[in-house]
Formats: sequence, structure tokens, C-alpha cells
Amino acid sequence: MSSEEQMNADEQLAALNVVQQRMERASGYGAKLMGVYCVILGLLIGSLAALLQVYRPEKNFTGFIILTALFVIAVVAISLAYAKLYRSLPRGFSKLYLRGFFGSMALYMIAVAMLSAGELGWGVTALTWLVVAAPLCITGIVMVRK
Amino acid sequence: MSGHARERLNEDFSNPVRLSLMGSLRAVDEADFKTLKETVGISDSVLSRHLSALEAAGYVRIKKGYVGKRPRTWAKLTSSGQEAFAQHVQALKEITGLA
Repeated sequence: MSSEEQMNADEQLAALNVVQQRMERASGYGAKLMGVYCVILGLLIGSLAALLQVYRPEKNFTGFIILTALFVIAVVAISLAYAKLYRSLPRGFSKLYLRGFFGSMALYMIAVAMLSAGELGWGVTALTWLVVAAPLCITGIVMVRK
Repeated sequence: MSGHARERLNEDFSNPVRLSLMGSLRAVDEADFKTLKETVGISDSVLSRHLSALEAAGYVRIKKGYVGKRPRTWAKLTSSGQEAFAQHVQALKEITGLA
């Protein structure tokens, strides 16, 4: 493409169609990558929320510390991998991610607050995992499908 | 909206490379230098020159950072860039009878 040639209106619209299609193809990879990242992050946050019910800091402090450390390592690892692979993101996906992230974080906070309510059964613990992971996982699935 | 659509065309986007860059960036939240280069099909130096011009005009925000030890450059449209480009595309559509 010559950078100096002027184009008429029809040519400009045609050129725009071409680059937008190319960019949509390129950002499709970014959408899938972000989707997978969201699902993994959601499952990790959900797992932490559920496992905190099992490894309660007042009962098993060592387990709690190991669990938290593993969680931090896993989140840092997937974030670094994502940053390395990330190249572009379709319009609106940043907001979509933030909505899913804050949704899962809000539910995680509720799950942490529930720790003071005493020990919960396995059913509630499993439900906690699913509910906390849901906003990010659903966001991720939507992104991958788009 | 007043005047002929031709009068609402933005001279900053009459250059094919800048038009393509704006069109590419309109489809994404942000894109890195390599993606833009491949999408528009231009060299590093041409991309760098035109991105800088669009940044100076306030249409594009450029962010530089590192991934590991490698430098990486990201570009995204500013809100004024989005608005100006939308007006330009609308004017193009009116001229060609698509609007």
C-alpha cells in the first residue's frame, strides 16, 4: 500500500472493510486467549474460596498459607503467560472482563465472610466453588464463543 | 448535521495508512505494534511515523512496555479519535450513498 496515494470515498470504505476484516480475524485469537484466561482465573478464585472453607486459617494455618501461596503462584503464572501471548483484544472485551472479574471477586468476598459462620458441608463448599467461579467462567465462555 | 458531507471529511484520515490504522483500531480495545503492522501491511518505520502523527493529533494513545525483556508497543483509539473517525466514516457513507 502506498502511504501517499489519496483515495476517493468508495476506495476509502473498501479499504476500511478489508482492514477491519483482517483485524477481526487477528483479534479473534485475542478473544479466545482472554476467554481461556478468564475461565482459568475463575476456576482458581472459585477453588480458593472453596478450599478456604477446608483449610481455615484458625484450624490449619500451614495449609492456609500453602494454599494462598499456591494460588498467588498460579495467578502470577497464568497472568505472565497471558501477557506474553496477548496481542489484541476485540472492542468491548476489556469491560466484559472487568465485569466478570469484579463479579467473581464480590462473590469471593461473600465466601470469605461466610468463614465466620462456622464449618459448612461439602455440598455448600462445592456450591461456593461454582458460584464464585461462575461470573468469570461465563464471561470466558462468551468470549471464546464470540 | 450541516453542510455537504465532503466538508465533514477529516483531512487527517485522507492518507490511506492513517485511514487503515484508524479502521483497524476501531475494531479493537487495543492492539500491539506487530498486529497493526501485519493487519495494515506496512513496514515498522511507516507504521511508527503514522502512529506518532495520529498520537500527536490526539486520535491514538500509545503505550510502551515490556513483556519479559522484550519491549512492546500498544495502541488504542482515544475517545476523540473514535468520535472524529466515526464522523469521517459517516461522511464517507453519505458521499457514496450508503447512509
